[in-house]
Amino acid sequence: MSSLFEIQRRFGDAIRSGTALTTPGAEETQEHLAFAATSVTDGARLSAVEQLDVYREQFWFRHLASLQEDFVAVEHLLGKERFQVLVRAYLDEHPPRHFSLQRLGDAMPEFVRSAAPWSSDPFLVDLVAVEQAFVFLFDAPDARPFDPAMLANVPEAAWPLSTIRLSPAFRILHLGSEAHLYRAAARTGGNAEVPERKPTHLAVARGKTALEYMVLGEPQSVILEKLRAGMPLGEACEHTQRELSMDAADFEAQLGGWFQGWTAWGWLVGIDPP
Amino acid sequence: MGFRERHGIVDLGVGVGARVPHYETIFGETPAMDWFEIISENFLGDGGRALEQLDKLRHAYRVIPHGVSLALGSVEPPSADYLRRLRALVDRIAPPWFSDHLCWGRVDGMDLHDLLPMPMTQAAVAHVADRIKQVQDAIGRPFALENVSSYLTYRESTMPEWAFLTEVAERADCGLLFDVNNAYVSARNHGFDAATYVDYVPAHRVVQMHLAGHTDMGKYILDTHSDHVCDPVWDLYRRAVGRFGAVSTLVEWDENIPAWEVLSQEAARARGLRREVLAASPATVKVQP
Repeated sequence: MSSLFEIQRRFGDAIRSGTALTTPGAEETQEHLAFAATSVTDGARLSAVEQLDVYREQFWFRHLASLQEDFVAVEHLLGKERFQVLVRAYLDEHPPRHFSLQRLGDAMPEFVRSAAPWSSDPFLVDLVAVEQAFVFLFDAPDARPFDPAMLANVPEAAWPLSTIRLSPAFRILHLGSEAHLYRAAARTGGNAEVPERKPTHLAVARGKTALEYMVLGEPQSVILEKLRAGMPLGEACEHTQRELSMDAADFEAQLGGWFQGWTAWGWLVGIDPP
Repeated sequence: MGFRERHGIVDLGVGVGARVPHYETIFGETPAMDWFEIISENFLGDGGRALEQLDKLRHAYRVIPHGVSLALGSVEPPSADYLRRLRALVDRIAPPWFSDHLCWGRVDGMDLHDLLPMPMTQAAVAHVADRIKQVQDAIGRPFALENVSSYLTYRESTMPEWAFLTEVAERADCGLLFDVNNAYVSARNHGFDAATYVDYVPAHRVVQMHLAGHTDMGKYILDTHSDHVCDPVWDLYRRAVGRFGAVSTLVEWDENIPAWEVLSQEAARARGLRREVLAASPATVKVQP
């Protein structure tokens, strides 16, 4: 008699098979057929193998449908067949490990960045990153909006050494193209065309009523990344200005406006004095 | 004293599953509906709009959380993170019960996102009953166990499904969510009489019933929640109401989701049928305070 764990392990292996269990003579399904023969009862309507294959099909359809919903623009770009090939390869490498289907595509950006043939298509890599970022933001943690009263508690002299907290529902993507425009067009039935290569820093955030995005200039993206990494405010500004060889006066003149915008859009949520 | 009475579980009437395509109607018009069921996993995130919408919903209606990922039959236990999130959700809603399925779905660190059937053995009874006790302790509310639709039977099984479900519920001392459509689907797929199922399960433990549509795949029927409740399932529901009495009922519709009016009419049909049966057999009516 098989243990419960053994049954579940072999059942789980069988339903993740990429080949229908009912395919005659398929070498890769032999182990699963043996499991069906020893553990599943033949029924009046379905054989043991057919019964197991119902669950295999459902495993595939459920996860494919979930990823289709998350990666609408990627499917639009690749077409149905190539998208399914991608999903199959992805699920083989990254079987679902989280209770929420919302997290199913978490590793997709890394997968397409590193696995052939997808890794050789930089636009695909960008588009996957953009679509996954929006999925991530959907139920990312909430944060209280920045309270101006917090500023009153920080003496002016302590500002340069303070660190700034960014919203957990905010990300910056460094892309090689304006993939977000393709995403928007594909999702609204517009004319989605692969854009030309162009370095793009894209901020994506969950706003008050919707998921939002904004293209940032390089200085903003650099300073925000430094703040996210926990660099004190003064240091982050100084390094950014120096790294980008910006005129100090010009840089300082823009800084106030940037901070006002980031706060108004809910990207900054707190300040921690040293 | 029966399970329902012991836990003060009352009849909530007939409700429907809260689904996104109906949110505009629900939040805009606050239509009449006895109660709503939510899928727990859709509200276990850290933040975002889903939780805001849940708060709006629960302030206007009674809401019961129904899970799909406890995988009580899995040898691997649910993660501490999952249980912590579920506890937080249940605390937020404060429902009279919460529910999930008699199935497994987690193995080798994977979540297979399906309600996979259990071998119906004494060992499995002991395993699931222990797991339910642990979950009830962790969540701190009465739990209701739902029978699943199945498409496969194991050689190792030593008892019929209704005996398995009953024995688990008795040993775990939990409630039951009797899914009428699931009993019908499994009966059709495996060739048993669904009426036997209804007649066997302990009535005092049934705190809720589910109704849904399914899809005929030719050689088997698939629980898709994609259509109207079919006539044989209505007949079975009539029998179930006669046996279980006034028990909260929920109409599920998850694919090909129709207009609110259609779903609402399906709930109204259940409400009417229930009223009719309960009026005809007052002996079974035990509406608890």
